[in-house]
Amino acid sequence: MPTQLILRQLRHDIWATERLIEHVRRLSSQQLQLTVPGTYGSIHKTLLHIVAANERYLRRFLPMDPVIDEDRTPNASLDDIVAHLRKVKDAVEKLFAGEHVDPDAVIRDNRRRNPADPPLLITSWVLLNQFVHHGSDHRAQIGTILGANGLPTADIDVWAYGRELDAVKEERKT
Amino acid sequence: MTKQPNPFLHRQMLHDTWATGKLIERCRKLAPDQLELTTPGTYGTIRATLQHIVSADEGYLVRLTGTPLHAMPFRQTDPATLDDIAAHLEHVKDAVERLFSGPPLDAERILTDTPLRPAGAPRFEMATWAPATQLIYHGVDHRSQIDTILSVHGLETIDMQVWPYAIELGASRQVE
Repeated sequence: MPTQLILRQLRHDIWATERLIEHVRRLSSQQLQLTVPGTYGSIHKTLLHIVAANERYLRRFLPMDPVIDEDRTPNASLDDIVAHLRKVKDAVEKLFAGEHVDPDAVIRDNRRRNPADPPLLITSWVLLNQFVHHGSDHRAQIGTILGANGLPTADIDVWAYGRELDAVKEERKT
Repeated sequence: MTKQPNPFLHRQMLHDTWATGKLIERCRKLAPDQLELTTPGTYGTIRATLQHIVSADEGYLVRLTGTPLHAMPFRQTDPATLDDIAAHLEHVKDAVERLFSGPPLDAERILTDTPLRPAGAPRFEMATWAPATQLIYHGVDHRSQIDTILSVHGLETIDMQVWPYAIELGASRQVE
């Protein structure tokens, strides 16, 4: 069966977060706390938020416990975040290894962050498209924080990913 | 639209143009000098970034459809007002509809060239998923930067995530 476009997107998303984590490993612990106004927060906090949200999106489709959490594990190390990103990666492959994912399936979500809130009915495409949107949005903020503080940014767009997979090739003149 | 092929990508592109359209409308409330605001670490000014999003969208769609969207390409360097950018966003919307009105997109099909390649420039070959995924990634990336610029300057931001779009469509709703 050919690879679905959404799976390609999710793989790029996870690759980009992995790359970004590797990129920021060379920063000092003080630099990981850098931020700029108008973004979610520090580099560290934003990376944690990206992966925690990834797990929350995916646990609507399949078991993901225990998940990392911005409130309960705010001091998770980069290694902890990477370990959870691996779970995200495995879950995405598992999700698409089985039956075709129905974009219009409605999921009843009882596990609200605020337990007093009523359940949500969410269509599948919303969750997976938000997964992709959310990661790109917050990685862009980290790019802005790095750039604004005079630090090198990471090349994590789809072109870089496609070149790595040999899916984007420049013609060689002979 | 429930049984259309490439349902995730089609909806992503519809969300993408919705979000860019919302952002353009938000920016219409800014004064001309506010449109030229920027902040370090971003692409450039608000206006230049909006133009960059839409001109890049056109470029990706020309590659994906294999057909120019109009006679003269919309370049990043063209002088453009918000009205010009909004007009080009309509071309983007039309191209998205054309892209999904034909046979299903094969993510792995190799695109061998683009009609927009300047004479003498190198030719790139790429799998269809690459420009399709890049279109989505690129728009989010740069809208996020505009959001940061607005915040840095104490200006109102808007929620352009998939959630408000889905709520508008009734695709995410709270159980009463």
